Amino acid sequence: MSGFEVRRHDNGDVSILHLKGFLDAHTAPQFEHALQELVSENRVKIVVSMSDLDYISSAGLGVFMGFIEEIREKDGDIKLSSMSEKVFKVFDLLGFPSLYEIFDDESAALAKFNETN
Amino acid sequence: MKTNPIPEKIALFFVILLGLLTFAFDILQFSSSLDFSQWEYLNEGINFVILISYYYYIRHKKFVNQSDIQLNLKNFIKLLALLYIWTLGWKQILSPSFVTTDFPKAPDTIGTVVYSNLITFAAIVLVVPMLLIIKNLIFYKQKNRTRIYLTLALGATLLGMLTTVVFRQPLDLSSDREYIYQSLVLGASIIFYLILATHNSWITYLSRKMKYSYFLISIGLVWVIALMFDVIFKETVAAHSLVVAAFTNLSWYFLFFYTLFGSLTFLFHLPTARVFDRKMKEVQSLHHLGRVIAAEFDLNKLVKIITEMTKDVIESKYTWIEVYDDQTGHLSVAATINIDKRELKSMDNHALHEIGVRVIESKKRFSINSIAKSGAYADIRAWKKDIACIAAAPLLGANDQVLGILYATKSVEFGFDPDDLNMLEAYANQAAIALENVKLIKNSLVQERLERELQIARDVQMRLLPQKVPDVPLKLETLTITAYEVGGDYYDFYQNHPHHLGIVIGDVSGKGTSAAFYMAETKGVIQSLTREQRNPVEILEATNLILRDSLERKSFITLLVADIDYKKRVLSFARAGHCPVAHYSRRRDEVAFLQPGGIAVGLDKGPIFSKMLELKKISFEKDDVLAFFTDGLSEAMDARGEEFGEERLGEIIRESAQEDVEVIKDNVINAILGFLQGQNLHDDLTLIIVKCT
Repeated sequence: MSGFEVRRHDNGDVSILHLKGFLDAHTAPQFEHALQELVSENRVKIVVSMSDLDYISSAGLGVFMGFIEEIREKDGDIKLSSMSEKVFKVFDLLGFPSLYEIFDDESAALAKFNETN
Repeated sequence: MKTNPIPEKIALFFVILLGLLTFAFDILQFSSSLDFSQWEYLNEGINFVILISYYYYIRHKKFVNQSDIQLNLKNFIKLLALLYIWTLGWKQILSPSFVTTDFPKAPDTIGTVVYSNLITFAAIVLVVPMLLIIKNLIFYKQKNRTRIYLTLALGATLLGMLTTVVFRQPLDLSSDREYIYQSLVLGASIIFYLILATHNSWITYLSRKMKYSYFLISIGLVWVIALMFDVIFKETVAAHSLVVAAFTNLSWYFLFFYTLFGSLTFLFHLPTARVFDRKMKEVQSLHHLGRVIAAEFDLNKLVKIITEMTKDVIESKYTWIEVYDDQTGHLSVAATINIDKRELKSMDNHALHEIGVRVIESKKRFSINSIAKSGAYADIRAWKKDIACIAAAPLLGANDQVLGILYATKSVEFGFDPDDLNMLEAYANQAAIALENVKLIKNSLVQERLERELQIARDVQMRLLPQKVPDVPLKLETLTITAYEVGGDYYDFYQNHPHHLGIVIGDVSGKGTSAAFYMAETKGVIQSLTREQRNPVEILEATNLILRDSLERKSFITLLVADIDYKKRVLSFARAGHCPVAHYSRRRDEVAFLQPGGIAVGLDKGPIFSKMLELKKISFEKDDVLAFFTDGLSEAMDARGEEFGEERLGEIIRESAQEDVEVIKDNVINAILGFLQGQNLHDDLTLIIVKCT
């Protein structure tokens, strides 16, 4: 299976995580680790950018589920951006759009965070 | 070795009989001046036969066939002592005297005749085994030419015996022309004896202690053997038999050279004995360690053995090993010698810590040969007065990763020589191998357990699925292919209401046992709900309410609940994040994917779930086809990462919709297999095909 990579980029009090490659049961722990790190630093305004994400499995989706409650309790949020059509279909099928805000690009997601500040 | 007792007994009989014969004749000759022509030669011949017979008798005896060095040396000394005791004893009793003629000297008294016979007898009986014992020592480390030299030496000895009889001259080195042959033969013999005398490599392998004690013994031995000829054989044996006299004479040369060279070799080995001893110990202990590592997988025992061996070989005072703890990621003391583990663990010694850091960073051994009472590392001396020098070596695993540190200290300054440090490093390396072995074993055990767990999960999953399709006026086919690891597909049929068939299809996120548990739970919940309810929306809402609290935060379940009223030909269903339903309409000849709103079970506590969930109701006609599936089918992936997709599924259903439902299923299977082209499925795949009648 192809590899997976998470890159973090801090922008003010918002952190952006760029996902790349295949997010499945094998690579989900990497993503989990990245989110855990942000939460432990109390950086709870998170944009997950998926422009380079090729595939996401249910285990990958589960990672969002594992953190969202805690993050929202801390007045933060996970906003999703820049999904390919294929990845969006997966999110859509499961009904994520009704639970998460999804944006076409990072700047829109960032703007949304800054707007509420 | 094969022994043949009967000829040996005959040989012994010959020895005694012939010995008595020659003895009797000697007595007779002395007392009656009997002269029997050619008796001298016959006598020599008989004595030669006695010698050979005795050799034949004794050569296979256990006594002379020992391979143990110590035993051989002991036996040799015993034989030598016996020879002296025998000789000196009889000398006291018989006080022999000889007529001083040229050669051989004739006995003066009857007692002397008896004496010479007794000594000759002893010479044969005791010297032959002595030579055999030396032969064992020579062959301790046989070289290519050892056997040749031995044969040559034996040949020269036999020749010497022959010439002595023929020329009736003693074997002496002399420039006198008269004695030229004897001198040549003796010279040749001595050369071969000298060559053989250098074959004493058995000395090399003795321990230091033995080398010292044997050296002292050998000095005495050389002296005793040097005297042996004069004291024992000289004129005595020659008076009875020249053959035996020549034999004892030459044997004496040989024994003297061998013991002399042996003694010198001991002397030369003394300075290196300690080093050699040490090297032997090192090799042995590394060998032993290698075996222990291959057989022992208990980490605690292993580190203990390694520290013990380190202490034994490099003779360190305190020895301990620190290993990285998997859980904490810190170094922790795993085994100690001469020092309390707790004391080391609780100690916060800056200098010691510094040494550790140095070893880890450089990945090389580190040693201080003299720890001053002040200055750097004085901390260590302050902690333990008897640490005068300290050495530490890293446990380097694969990829040069430091797995731990092996420490050793000595109470004398400059206590570690380069050999010690090399050994410390060698032990550290062995310890690293051992640690890695243990980890590998552990991992493979974990792997095995996981696989067994997965197998159980798969079995549970398969048992949860319906074993046969329900008996309804619809044509039904199901297909389930489980992927190796990820599992969680589930489907079920219900017939709780007349003219209605309930279908549930779902996918539990996660894998292995947890997925199987959720699946079982879901099946139970839905089974009980469908008894009362028929409305898919109500069933799903209730399911979400029941399951949301028991589900792990990371887990969710996609579910699709359908109700087919086959009398009215109406399908109503609701979808909780699950794949859509494919509907082939015969009339329109097209496939529609019906995807009403709805989010997966477990994603939301309730309000959003209910808000999003839609009921979809369609009517169908005869020969319409309905397909329910999981994302394992639509997301089946080929080598290039392309997904099978819903379009392909729709197309196959449309193309084969006229066929029987089995054929439709086969076509879908073939299409997927063709698409995968040998790639493995990465998720379970489930398909339910319903053809309406």
